[in-house]
Amino acid sequence: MKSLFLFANGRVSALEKDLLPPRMWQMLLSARDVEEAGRLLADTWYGRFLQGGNFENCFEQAAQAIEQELMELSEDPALVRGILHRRDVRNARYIWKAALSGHPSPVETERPGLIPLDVLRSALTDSEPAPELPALMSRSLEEIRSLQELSPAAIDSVMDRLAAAMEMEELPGMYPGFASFLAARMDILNFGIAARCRLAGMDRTASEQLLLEGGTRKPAEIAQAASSGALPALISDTVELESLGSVLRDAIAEKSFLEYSRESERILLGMLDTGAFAVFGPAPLAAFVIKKEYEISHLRILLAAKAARLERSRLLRRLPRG
Amino acid sequence: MAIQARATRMELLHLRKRAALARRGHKLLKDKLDELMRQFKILLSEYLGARQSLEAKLETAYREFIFARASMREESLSDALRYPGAVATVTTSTRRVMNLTLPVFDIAMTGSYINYGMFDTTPELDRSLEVYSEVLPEVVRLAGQEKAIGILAGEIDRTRRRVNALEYILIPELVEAVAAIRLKLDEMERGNLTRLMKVKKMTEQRREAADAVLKAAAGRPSTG
Repeated sequence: MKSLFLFANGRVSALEKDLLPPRMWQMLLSARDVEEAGRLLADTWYGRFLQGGNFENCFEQAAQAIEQELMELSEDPALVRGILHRRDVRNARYIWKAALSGHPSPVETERPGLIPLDVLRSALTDSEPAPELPALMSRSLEEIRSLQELSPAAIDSVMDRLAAAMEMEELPGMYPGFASFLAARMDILNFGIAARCRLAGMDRTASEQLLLEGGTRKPAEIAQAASSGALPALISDTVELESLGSVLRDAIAEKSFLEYSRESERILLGMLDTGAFAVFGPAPLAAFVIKKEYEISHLRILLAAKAARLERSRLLRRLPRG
Repeated sequence: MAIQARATRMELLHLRKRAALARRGHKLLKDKLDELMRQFKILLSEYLGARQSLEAKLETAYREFIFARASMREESLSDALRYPGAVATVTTSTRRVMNLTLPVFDIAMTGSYINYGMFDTTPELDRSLEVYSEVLPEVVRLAGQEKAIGILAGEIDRTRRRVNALEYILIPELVEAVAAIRLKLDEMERGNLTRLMKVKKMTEQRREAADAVLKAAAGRPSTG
């Protein structure tokens, strides 16, 4: 029975050994400079992609290798779609925003996910939606076309909602454990957006429009809490995010979200590590892919901080490792 | 090169006038140099203070930006920064200091520096852009100050060269030329005096000789 993901999850168990252990993170954090960190990294799974000290290239190839594993192992096309369509949404944002804002030259895009870049480009001019475009993307494109004021901010607002909807509609169908992870991630994002809007001096209506559906807390509820200064209290009352109350309070007071990002990611990584994912299903594979994405993101932060000779204490304010 | 001048009284008078003019010019330029230096020091201390505070703020922004850049994909970061929502209008004017025209830059900002989606961007990007937008007026003002300092420094350099040229070259050369002409004239006067004395002496000798001849002629008995 293919849909049980028996082989895939056995393989995921083996692949998880390639995730950097806490001891390696300690060593990376203690590295004197970026060269030493690079030497340490060369002895890990990333070593096979590390050529000539080009970390960006290494991480890009590592991400491609993970995706390759995902596509080979996944017996459920929805999982592949859920993961890869996130990149298509980002590419759509770059291309559509540039075209509709009158940007003269072609803009940088990421590798295509499942939708070719040409399809995204021609989608703007085609009268009929392309069959490769998911329904959600077609709806968002229609929404953009119907915008009265075609500003980059308005397009971004639609694309943010599309990105959230893609993540919340395509991925969580795969068992409640994973759905609660995604809901927590959306809550964290929404609380962060509300706090950022508050610091930028936006009013309640403007910030509510930027909040995204899909979390356990409704956008209106979060916007109300933000306008009354009760965001830390509300996040303390949110399932899984209880410990973020004081962190968010400090973040708003100090206008620095390093600790908030660190603690949020620590919670999310904890949920991925200890989540009650059904063994016979796509969730462990999805969790592994997302863990690897976080790992790459944290390595980029670590190496950037080492290259800029940032002190270890400051790096530890952001990095949920070590 | 020493001043070449004919040793005449007219030239002497002319050179004396030039030397007096050079001394007056030297004093004026020296006063100008002192005032320029004073203005330069004021401007420099203002500039250094502003620069120090600016660098501290920029350090905060760069530190936040390091995390923003590392946490975000390069394409997302470029996309977020490609469409600025704030418009900065720089106005330029001038002010006069010691007959110099110094630039004054001012900046007015409208709109919000946050003009991107929140889904793929990080709070660190907001923070670094906030600091950058705060320091932009300071950067522009500092650019005006830096230009003014450059103009003042150039003028100080030029004035100092003029003062030095007057003090160490033109005035000493004029003084030397005046002294040389005076020496020459004195020498010529002494030569003339000696010549006159000699002529006088010769004239006296001739007169004495003539008198002696006349006396001798007067002492001889008359033949008529």
